[in-house]
Formats: sequence, C-alpha cells, structure tokens
Amino acid sequence: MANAGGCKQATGIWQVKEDVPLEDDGGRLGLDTYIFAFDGDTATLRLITTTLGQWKSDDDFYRLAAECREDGLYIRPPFADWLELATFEDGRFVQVGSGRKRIFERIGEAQVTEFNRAILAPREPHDYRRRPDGTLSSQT
Amino acid sequence: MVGLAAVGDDGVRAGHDEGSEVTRAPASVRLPDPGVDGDDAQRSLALLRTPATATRRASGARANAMLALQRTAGNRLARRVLARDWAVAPTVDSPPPVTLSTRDLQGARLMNAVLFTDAAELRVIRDVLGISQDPAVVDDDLSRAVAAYQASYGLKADGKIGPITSGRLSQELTAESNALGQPATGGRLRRTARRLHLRAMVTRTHGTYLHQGFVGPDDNPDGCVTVRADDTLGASNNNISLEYTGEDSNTVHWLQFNASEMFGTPPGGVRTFATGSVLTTNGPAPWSTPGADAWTVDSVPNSPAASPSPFYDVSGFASTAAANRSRVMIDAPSGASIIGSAQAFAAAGPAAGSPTVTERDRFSSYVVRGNNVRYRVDWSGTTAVNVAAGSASRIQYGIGFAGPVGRLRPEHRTALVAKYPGNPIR
Repeated sequence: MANAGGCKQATGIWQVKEDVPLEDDGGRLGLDTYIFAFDGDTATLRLITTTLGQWKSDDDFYRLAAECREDGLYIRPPFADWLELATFEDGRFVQVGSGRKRIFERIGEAQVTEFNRAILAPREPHDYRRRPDGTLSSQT
Repeated sequence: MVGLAAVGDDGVRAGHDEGSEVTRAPASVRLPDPGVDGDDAQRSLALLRTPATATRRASGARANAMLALQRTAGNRLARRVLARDWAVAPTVDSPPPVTLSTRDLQGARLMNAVLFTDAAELRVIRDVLGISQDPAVVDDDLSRAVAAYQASYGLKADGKIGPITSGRLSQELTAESNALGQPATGGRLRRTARRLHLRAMVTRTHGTYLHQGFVGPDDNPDGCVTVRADDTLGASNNNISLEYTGEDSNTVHWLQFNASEMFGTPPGGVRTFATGSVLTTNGPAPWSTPGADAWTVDSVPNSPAASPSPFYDVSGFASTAAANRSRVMIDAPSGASIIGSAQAFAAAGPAAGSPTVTERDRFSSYVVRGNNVRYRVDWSGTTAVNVAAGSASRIQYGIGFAGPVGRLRPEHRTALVAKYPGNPIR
C-alpha cells in the first residue's frame, strides 16, 4: 500500500493496535508510546517526568512541536532534542525498536479509553521557553 | 517534670516523627578544671561507671566523685549535688519515673536498631546511661535508660535516640572526655561523641529511618548519612530523603544513578518486562530488563542552564541545605505518575491483560566531595498499579548496600561520561 497523503496528512488520533516481535529492528531503541494525536504541526501525547520538583503539565499530556521528515514523524519533548516518534508506512504509523514493531491505527474520539481521555482536552502548544524549574526564559 | 515542656525527639512514632525542640541545650561544656588532674577525673569516672542502680542516685564517695566530675565539666556554678551523676547538669531536678508501654518499647527498639549498629558505640552509650555495656545491643534496657535520661533533660521520654537526644549525649560525652583530659579526637568517648554530634545535625524530622552511617575516618568521621522513607515534601509524605550532615556539607553533593524496570504478568502468562524506553519530558529513558541494567545519571539535562551539573541537588529541584550542616536530596520515583504508562503497557503487546503492573526503580546515590566519591547508598522504590482501577500503591522503599566507597561502580562511571563527557568524578 502506498503512503497515500504521507506523514504530513496523517492527522488524527493514533493508538497501538498490534505489538509484534521483530527480528531486525535496526538496532533502534523502542519507545513506549501508546496513543498520540497529530494535527500536522503538533503532536499531543503523555510523557513521564522523572525528576521530583521538575516542571510538568497538570495531566502529563503535552502538545509538542511535530514535523514530518519524509515518512518520519519527529517531535520535540519539552527538555530534549527532536526525536523520531514513529514512521508512516502502509497508511499507518509504526514504531520499530527493541525487537518489536508497534503498529498504530487511527481511532475516533469515542474509542479513546478513559485513562487517555485527557488527550482530547484542548491545550496550548508547549512553550519551549519553559525551563525545567518552571520559569520562562527569553529564548526558545 | 519541673516546669519544662517535653521535647519530642525525632524518632519514628507510628511511621512518622514530628519532634520540635522547645528547650535549649545547656551552656557549652568547659574544659577540665586545672585544679583537678586527669587521675582524679579518671577515678571519678570509674566510680560513676560502677554498676548502676535503677535510679543512679548518688551517695557517699560516689556523690563526691560525681560532684568533682561535674565541677570539672562545667557545672561549678550549680554548687549543688545533682540528682543524677551526669557531667552536664540535668535540667529537671526530680523527673517522674518513666514507664514505656510495650508499643513504645517496640518503636524505640526498631528505630534505635536501625541507627545504632556499631558495638563500640553502643557500649559507650550504654555505659554512660548507666546500664551494662554488654551485650552491646539495642534492647529494652537501653530504651528505658534512654527514656530516663531524656526525662532528666526535659526531652520527650520515648527511649528513641534521635537527633535531640544524640546532641545531649554528645555533650555529656564531650564533657566527660574533657574532664579526663583526653585528646580532642580519638578514643572511645571522643569517637562516640563525634558520631552523636553528627547525628544531632540531622535536619529532616519526618519519616522512617532506613539507614544511618558515617563518612571519613572511623575515629573522627567528617559526616553522617541518614536515609528516611516516607519523608514529607509539600503535600506528599511518601518521599525518600538522603541527608548528609557535617561541617563540610557546603562542599558535598549528591550524585544519583537510576535504573528502572516495569513488568506485568498477563493471565496465564509469565512475568513480562517492558523493553525499549519510556518517553519522558527529558527525552527517552531506557528500561532495564533482567540481566541488562540501563543506568542513567538522575539529573535534569542542561540544568542549571549556566553550568549544567550532574549532581541531583544542583540540577534538580528537590533538595535542601543548611550551611555548614546539611545537604539533603529528596526523591519520589514513580508513584501515581506512572499509572497512564502502566495502563498502556497492559493494553497491548506481550503484557496485555496484566491486572497489575509494577515499576521498580533502583538507585545508587553517592556522596561526592570535590571529585571524590565517599559514600554510596543503594535503594529502591517500587510502585504497583492496579490497571483496572487506575490506582497506584504508595511507593515502597527498600535499601541495599550503604557505606563508604572510594570509586564509582564501573557502570555508573560509564553512564556519567555518556551524559557528561569528560566528567572527572571516578
């Protein structure tokens, strides 16, 4: 199947449908993303905060800068460099790494499980001036 | 009790302690009186160290010996025979008898047993409290003797040797050492006085003690490391605190490494571990799996912005310090923050259907002075998530190795230079 429309047009809510073993993962480290929403310019997903006292969102969901580089969907976490979240292939996103292939399917809002409903809440894009201590810097 | 409010010592009481000092320590102890030589003082001490009665009340030669010692130790102004034979004058003339309940005794024994594991130190403390030095253990005799001692000084008489009681005992031993004309460092009394002094510098007042140990030379340590579970920070009382106390605390930092794993057991299946990495606000953090630990420096990247530091207390936001006294790092790994990730882990893939998902975070926390590693505490925090209910257990803390070290473990050094290339700490 061709990547009709490609990554940039693959907007919507994407959730893991299958998680299958994969012999050749290209030596990549897998991610644990279960659900994300992509609107063409931003991606909304849940992130963990590992340091006590570091700034975090109220519900652990973030609307992050996102961009497609060919078939790769890249996001920029609040305090880290750009990274590839998923690859668009055969009309859906997949994550490959750590010996597994996670295949996403597009779902409707009604299919979002209760513990992920916060992904639907309207939110402003993340402000990259935000420092880990919560203050805002003058630069992005 | 004579006109003094009881002072709560910060031991562990029903899981928490909430000591607050309402009286002050007595005036500092003087040096030995030039009119009393060391031999006299030694004889005085020897008399005082004879098998004690239950109340240690003085009489005859024993009273005279006691008075001589008290005078050498700075109580000259008292001009009275004190009710008890301490070098530092009690603040309560006739404290009522103290009776500890079975529960009190159990609590005191539990806490004292975590804090006092050194037989030589226990012998000195038991001796100064007037009970047999041996067996050099924490037992109910010790708790009762501590409680009686506490009552004499207006402290809360709970039998627990927390920071306030440690401070009093340190002053007592210092006074006795001074009276004996002992060198400023070394020897049983000075060693114990120093350790008690460092214990008394602890600033945290809540939680359950997991560990206490010493940094530096055995006979005159530089600092003390105290670990407490279920410490309080903000609205949460489920944190862990690691505190260094010592006069050099300004030059000491905490360097922490972390390896985390998540696992669940699907119906009819076997325990299955998460692989790959968890996506955090600081970027991907690799999961550990059995036989493949993925250690990382537990620091906020690029923080502080002006000079990024690997130290937990410098790069992070959960630490406290008191100048020339204390450096504390506080953590609370996982807890309710991982509910969403745990539910996602149980929703698809090899762990699908697991009713419970557990995250176990392992840590190695080092005390570092300059570029020198001095002490390591290995500890863990475990959270169990009920997937269906979307609820998380309290974080259960455990402790492994804790003691002086001279180097980073190789895997920690590898993790350090991976994140902070060229860092000189080894």
